[in-house]
Amino acid sequence: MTATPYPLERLYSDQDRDWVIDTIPAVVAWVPGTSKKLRNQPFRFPVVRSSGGEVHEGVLELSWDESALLVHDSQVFEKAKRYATRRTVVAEKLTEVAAVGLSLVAISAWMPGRRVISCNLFAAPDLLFDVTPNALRGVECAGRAAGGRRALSQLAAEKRPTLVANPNLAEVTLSLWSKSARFTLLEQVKA
Amino acid sequence: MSFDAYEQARASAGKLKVKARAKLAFDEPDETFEACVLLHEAARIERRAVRLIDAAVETKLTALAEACACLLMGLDPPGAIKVWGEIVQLRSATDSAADILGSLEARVEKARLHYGKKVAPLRFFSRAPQTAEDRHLALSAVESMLAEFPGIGSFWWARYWLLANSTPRRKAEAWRSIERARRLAPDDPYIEASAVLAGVDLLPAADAHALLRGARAVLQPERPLLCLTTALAELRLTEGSSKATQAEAHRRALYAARVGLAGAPPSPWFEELRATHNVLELLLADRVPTLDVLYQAGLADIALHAKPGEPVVDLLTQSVLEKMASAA
Repeated sequence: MTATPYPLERLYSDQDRDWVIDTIPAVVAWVPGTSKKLRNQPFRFPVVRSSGGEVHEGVLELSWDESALLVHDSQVFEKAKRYATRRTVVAEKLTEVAAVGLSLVAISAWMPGRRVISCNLFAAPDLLFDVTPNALRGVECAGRAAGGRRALSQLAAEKRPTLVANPNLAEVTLSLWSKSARFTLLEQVKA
Repeated sequence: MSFDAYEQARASAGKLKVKARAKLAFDEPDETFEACVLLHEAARIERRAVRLIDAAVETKLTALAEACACLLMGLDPPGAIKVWGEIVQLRSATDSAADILGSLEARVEKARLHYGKKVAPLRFFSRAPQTAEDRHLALSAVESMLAEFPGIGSFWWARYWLLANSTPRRKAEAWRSIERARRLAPDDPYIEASAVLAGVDLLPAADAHALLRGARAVLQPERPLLCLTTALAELRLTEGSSKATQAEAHRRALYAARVGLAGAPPSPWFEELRATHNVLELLLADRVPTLDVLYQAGLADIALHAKPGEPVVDLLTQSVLEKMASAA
């Protein structure tokens, strides 16, 4: 299995700063687990990537250099700490933001040259490379606090038919993330 | 028609949405409010963006759906429902409406019912509360709504009005509330106009002068209420100043009133503008305005409740504030 190392601070050069600065604190708060072992870097996400009938399995090795992140955002760890002390009932909101941040990582790591230019709250896809009406291109992302590969496969099965049938989409990739057990599913559902 | 401008607008709306989502995840009241402001702005941009291109019905519907979702997430169910009304008018024009709108209708309906249930007790306050006890009750009800729906500008406005008229007056909190209303709805003429008048009462003089300078710069006949409140604010701000300072302010106020009167009738503020105009002409002629000004302008109702010797400017200002409160 191929390992793909990705230092989180690299996002600042791979994507527009405005997308990155608001999502990194959520990634920093969401990814590490509670046990000492789970908090050790790099954070390993087994990844299954599929596109055009081809399937690749690998591992994303996510890490970050605290001082490098602080150069771009002096409050990054303070914000991450605030996320960590939030009420349990809003955990889902943090998961959503972290999934957006991790999807930016996936785009940067496996779709070289692709840059996010907009995002949707309601319509698919969540992150857009191309906003041409009726020919949208982008990534639909989601996260789950738990469930690993099984939960993500189920989620993909729920989302796939709607995305395939959507006449506005020219190209869309699913980017799904599970925290416990860590797992990532990247599936190009429309090309 | 420019695709580049459309792309830029969508990019800017997208960035606001990501920022807002990150703020909502903090689950802190101030961050939640900031997220609401960003989502309202994103909704306005989505709606403007689609006008920049020769958009098909499907694209227009998608933009409205996105704006509606922004307002739902921005904790403003009445705003979202207003946009939903436009969606309903448009959806029959395309066969793809169901695909585009997906689960939005169910989400809007859920929000509508929830909001309706929460707002029902406030219907008791069908007009601006007159007694201290009613204002206290109304304030408590408004604050309870704002705890759940901090994205509704009119509730921030109501909170301002109630605090500004409470005893003792909570000036800083009142100003903070009207500022919040303005940030959520910068295009709302009531909020814009009342903020000018509120500033004179609630802000230190230097800040109030700065606020008035900003208002003077955007006076137009199409904004009669802003013209009216600017004129009244000029009058109030220089009360007790030297004669020369007052005369200068009265001339500026007269100009504001004239701009407002130049607007296309019928304006619901025409009588008040006319009365203000006449008051200013008298003051500039060194004469004291009497209740006759109100009678001549068709505002006998205001004269009816006047106490002996009560200044006409105060009567007019109070009446304008109450009319705005009832409208809000």
